[in-house]
Amino acid sequence: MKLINQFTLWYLCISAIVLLAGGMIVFYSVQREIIDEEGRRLKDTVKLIAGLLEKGTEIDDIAGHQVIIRELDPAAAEIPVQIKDTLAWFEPHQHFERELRASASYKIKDKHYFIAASNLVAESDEILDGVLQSIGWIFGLLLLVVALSGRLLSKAILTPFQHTLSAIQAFHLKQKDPIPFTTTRTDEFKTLNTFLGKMTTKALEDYRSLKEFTENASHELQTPLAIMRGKLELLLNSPITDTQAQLLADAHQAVDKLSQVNKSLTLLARLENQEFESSQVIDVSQLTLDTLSTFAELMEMKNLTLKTKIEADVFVQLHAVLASILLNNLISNAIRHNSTDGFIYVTLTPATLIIQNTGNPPQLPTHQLFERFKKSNQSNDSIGLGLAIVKQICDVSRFQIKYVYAEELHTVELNFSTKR
Amino acid sequence: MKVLVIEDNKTIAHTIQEYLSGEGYICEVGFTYFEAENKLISFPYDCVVLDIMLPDGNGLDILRFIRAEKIETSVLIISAKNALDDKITGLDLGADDYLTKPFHLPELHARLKAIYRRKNLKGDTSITYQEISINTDTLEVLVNGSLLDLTKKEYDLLLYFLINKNRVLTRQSIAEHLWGDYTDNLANFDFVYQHVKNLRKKISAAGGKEYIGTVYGLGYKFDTSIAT
Repeated sequence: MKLINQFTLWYLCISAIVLLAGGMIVFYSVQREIIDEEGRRLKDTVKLIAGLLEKGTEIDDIAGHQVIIRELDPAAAEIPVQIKDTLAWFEPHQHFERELRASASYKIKDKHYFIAASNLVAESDEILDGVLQSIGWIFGLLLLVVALSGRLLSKAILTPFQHTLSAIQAFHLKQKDPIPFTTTRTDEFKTLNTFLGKMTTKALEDYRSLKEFTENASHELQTPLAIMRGKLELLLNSPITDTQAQLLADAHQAVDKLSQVNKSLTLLARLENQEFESSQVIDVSQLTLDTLSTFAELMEMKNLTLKTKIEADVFVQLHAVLASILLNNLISNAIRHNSTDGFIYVTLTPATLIIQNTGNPPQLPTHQLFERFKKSNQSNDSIGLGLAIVKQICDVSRFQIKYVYAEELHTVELNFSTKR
Repeated sequence: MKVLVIEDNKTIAHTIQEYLSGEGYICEVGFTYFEAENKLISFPYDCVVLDIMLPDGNGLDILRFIRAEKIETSVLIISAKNALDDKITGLDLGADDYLTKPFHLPELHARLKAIYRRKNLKGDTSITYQEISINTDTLEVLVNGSLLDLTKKEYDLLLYFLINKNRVLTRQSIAEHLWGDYTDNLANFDFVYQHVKNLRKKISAAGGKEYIGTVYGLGYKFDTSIAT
């Protein structure tokens, strides 16, 4: 929900509550005012009539509509002025109406008069109707004004914020310059921009130094490794005894492994650095077929049966180098961890790539096999980075991957279509 | 074949020099950009082995220099930076191949040979050793005149052996040669053994000698002393 809509909604909720409370107050005070005022007026009328009677005016001249004058027993006590709020039959409308009546008795010239003056007043529900109607109108007006002015104002006030937002969205670690923020007079946005500016500059610097470190580390390690390997290879070809050859072989193997690990870790670091932008579109169908044919001889040697269901023209956005590493690793894994006379099933649809193979059950929970240096069989010679690289490639390319072992089949399922 | 190795690390440069000299090449080394330019202007080379990172310049600029001066030579880039950009720029600038450090010396040799063959021996596309003859154009192998039915990998393997005669080829080096980079999953595979076994079988079936010997614990060697 947009910020402005939230503000508007909350504001209107609060206004509604305040208006309701206000309405109650208006209702009660208006009602009280009417009753008080009318009561006072009626009392005055009663007193006025009493005054007239004292002056000697005839009762018949005064009595009439809404005024009653009656004679009481002169011995009875005087009734003080009192107001009564009652209902009275209203002839023209044929129903009861609210009526206010002031009554009193006065002893004037040895006679005892009872005087009552009454008047119809507005009923509570009528007042309520009026109050509700006006509040309704006020609320409607408020709604209109708040919605309109809110939008216009927020557009004006939030413009720098929108700029900042779009600048952050466009931000990429690989860009060379920090984000250019527009200047603003709002303090909060100033703080935000300064903070973001510092943060992105720091991120850019960190990214750069990480990248440099990766490249340097790779270079600094590769050079001594190259020397060691080169010297060992020269030594291998010099006249040596069998014992020396064995010693050399072990050293040579260690160097090979070290350089493999280094190469793979460098690749992983570069993947994490997002150095492989996948703007290209790859024909996965063709690549899968090519990769399978590269490994055909290996499958033959292990007497594996390959069954494929590869749909043609499956195109996926992926860096060419990553695509071939991905397929190489997955297919060579399926061969390597297979049992002799086993099976490999490769299924490719526009949405998924599924590679299944027979082989020993994994000795680790399958999801752990994606972690670095985790191997189902710790004693074997692989360095245990193949699947970690696969996972990293999937993460970078926003594919989903899962590894399941069920019904004696290792299944790696890659989902291309889950691009976020 | 005359080779110039441009590499700032003297140990590596000398290692390459020693290996290539052992193969009968005339091999010179240059450690700096300046030295490299001087040598390139003064002497002709069949091939230049070029490191990208030099203390006083970028190896890619040497490529540009070779191009600008119209110097006739092939270039093989060796770099510790496995950066794809360098690879593409290098090949765009006219380099013939690209090899990432650390490489196996037999691999470097095989690549140099391949470049050399491609560029210099126009028409002559056969490599012959005794009864074995390889046609690098048609990818055909003849042993005692009869055609050998080899798979692509076996062909590559035999060529690798023939180029690196009398050299110990480790299993790792063979695996990398046959399957390229990221052979992590295959490195210690029995597949190298299987390929070698099949290749031996096919050669001896055609009456060829058992040149390919096992070097215990290390790998294999194409041994020419068998011939005599």
